[in-house]
Amino acid sequence: VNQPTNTPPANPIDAGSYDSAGPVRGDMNFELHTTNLGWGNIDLLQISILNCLTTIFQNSDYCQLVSMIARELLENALKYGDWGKPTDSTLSLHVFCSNNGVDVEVQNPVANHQNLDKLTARLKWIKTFPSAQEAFFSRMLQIAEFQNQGRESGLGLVRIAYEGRCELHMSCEDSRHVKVRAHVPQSLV
Amino acid sequence: MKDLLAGDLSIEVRPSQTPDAISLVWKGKSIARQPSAVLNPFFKEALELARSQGQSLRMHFEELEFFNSSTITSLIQLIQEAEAHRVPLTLCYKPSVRWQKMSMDALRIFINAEGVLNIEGIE
Repeated sequence: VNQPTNTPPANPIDAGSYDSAGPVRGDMNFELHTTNLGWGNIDLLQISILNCLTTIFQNSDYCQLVSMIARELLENALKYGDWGKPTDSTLSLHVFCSNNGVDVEVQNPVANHQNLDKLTARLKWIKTFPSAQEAFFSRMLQIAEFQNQGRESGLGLVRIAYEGRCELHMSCEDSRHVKVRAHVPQSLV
Repeated sequence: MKDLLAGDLSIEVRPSQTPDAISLVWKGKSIARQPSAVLNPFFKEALELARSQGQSLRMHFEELEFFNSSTITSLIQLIQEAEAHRVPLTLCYKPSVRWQKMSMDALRIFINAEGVLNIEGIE
């Protein structure tokens, strides 16, 4: 994290665009690669990201939101990633200021195409709704209807889309690794 | 009924300021990988106690720092159980906390004409 500056950085953030979030006081590039991320460490990372963001953005709601989104992506990665191969079990987290907001990227290994297909289907499903709010409501009603018996809740990504009004993207650099990116627009809070 | 202490989360059982209600006050964070493992049995006990005493349940989230999306699944199941057993359930939250407001606004879709569920913003 760069030290706060008196003048807004020219790139990537134009402070003048973010009245609701207050002045921007720096830039951020938080990157982590680990082969040993336990569930308990997710909270440490969430707090670290929150602290970094707080040095840059004055709006605490926005900082909380971005850190929550990082948490949900990390939870998904740990739940659905393939951590069975010690030689290929790196989780990568990248949080950085981007055009009009902050991007959160999480990359993890996956076992097979079935998991990739499931993730692709989930993101496509969200986009079938006029708004992320409607997708979130629909998913909650599905959970209630089926009582979530033996099923994944599938709420994490749709919560990110709803609460963060995020654009979600998925990419596969190879058949073994998937990267999910959430762009969190700064103007929403 | 005893308080729940599980990792970063505590839920305190308190006498309610509202007559004929049991208050459950959430504190800390609900961030377990599978929160239903501890929450669902706790909810079951609370619902049975409330039903046997003819009381309602008031869940207070105002002091809670955060809950993950898996916790929302448990809350949906709680709402369904409360409806099935006709135990009035009120979810109290702090509207000025954005994530609480967003989550509770979404849970309002479960409010229906039977009137079991109520969602109340408290500052």
